[in-house]
Amino acid sequence: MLSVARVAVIDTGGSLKVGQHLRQAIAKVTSLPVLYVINTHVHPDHTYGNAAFLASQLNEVEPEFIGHEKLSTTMELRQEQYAKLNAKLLGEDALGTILVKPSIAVKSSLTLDLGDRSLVLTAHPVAHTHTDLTVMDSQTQTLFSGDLLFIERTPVVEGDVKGLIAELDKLKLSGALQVVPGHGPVSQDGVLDMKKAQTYLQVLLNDIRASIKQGVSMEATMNTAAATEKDKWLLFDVANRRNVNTLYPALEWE
Amino acid sequence: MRILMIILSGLVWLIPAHAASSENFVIESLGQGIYVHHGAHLDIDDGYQGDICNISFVVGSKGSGHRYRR
Repeated sequence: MLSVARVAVIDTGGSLKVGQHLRQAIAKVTSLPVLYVINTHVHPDHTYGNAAFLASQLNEVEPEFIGHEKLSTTMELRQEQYAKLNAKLLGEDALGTILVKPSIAVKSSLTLDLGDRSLVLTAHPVAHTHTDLTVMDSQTQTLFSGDLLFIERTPVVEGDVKGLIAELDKLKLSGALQVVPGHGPVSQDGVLDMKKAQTYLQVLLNDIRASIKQGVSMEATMNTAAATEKDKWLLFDVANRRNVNTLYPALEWE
Repeated sequence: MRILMIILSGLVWLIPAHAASSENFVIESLGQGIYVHHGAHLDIDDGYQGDICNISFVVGSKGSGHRYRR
C-alpha cells in the first residue's frame, strides 16, 4: 500500500483569516498536506476557519471535514444567526468566512490513521453542546477536549450541565497524559483541571436549583449563583451570567 | 432575539490581542508533532476577531492505505 503522511487539524478558529493564519503556520512546520479538519463542536469560534481548507483555497486535495453526527444539521440551523453575528463582529473579516459542514459524521467513534500515530475521535452526549467531539492522540496520549474543558476561564454550558459533569467524569478516566482544552493553557494534570471545572459546574447547578426552590428570580440568581467560585475563574461575571441565563429556564422543568 | 441570546450565551466571547497578522499567530509545539495556537482571553466588548479558542494540529509520518476506520 502507498504510504502517505498526513496532518490533522483540530478546530480552525472563527474566521477565514484565522484559518488562513493557521494554514500558514502549518506550512512553516511541514509540507505535508492537511487531510483531516476536525471540529470539536458547532460554535463559530471553532468552525469558521474551515473555509481556509477548502480546495479552492488550498489548490490541492480537499481534506475531509469531520464532526459529531449532529454537527451538520446544527450548522444548518444556526447558519443565518452565525452569519449575522460574524458580519456584526468580524467586520471585513466576515468576507469569505463561510460555513463548511462536515463530510464525515462521527456517531460514536472514529479512528484516523496518521501513519505513525492514530487519532481516536469520540462523539459525546449532550454536554457543552449537543455536538461535542473529543480527540485522543495514541502516540502521546494527548487529549483534545474541545469545550468540554475550560482551564482558567469560566466554563460555559449551552447544552446540559449535568451531562457536562458526567462527560468530565468519563474524560478523567481517559488516561490522558496532557490535555489541550478548548480555552486556556495545556494541562499536564487533566484530572485536576477537570475536577476544578466540575466543582464550578456543580456549585452553579446547586445554587440555581436552590434559587428556583426558593422562588428567587433568574435575574437575581445571575448575581448570586456560584459566587463562591468567582475568584477562581477569568471572565466570571459575563460567563456565569450567561450560564444562569441558559440553565435556569431548563432547570425550572426538572 | 431570544434565539440570538441563547446562541450568544453558548459562546465564549474572548478576543485575541494578536489576531490581526499572521506574523503574530503564535503556535506552541508540545513535541512529537503536536502544535497548539492559544486564543486570547478577552471579552467580546473589546472586539471579537475570531481568534479566541485553542486551535491544534497533529503531524503524522508514514501512513497506510487505510485513512480511517469506524
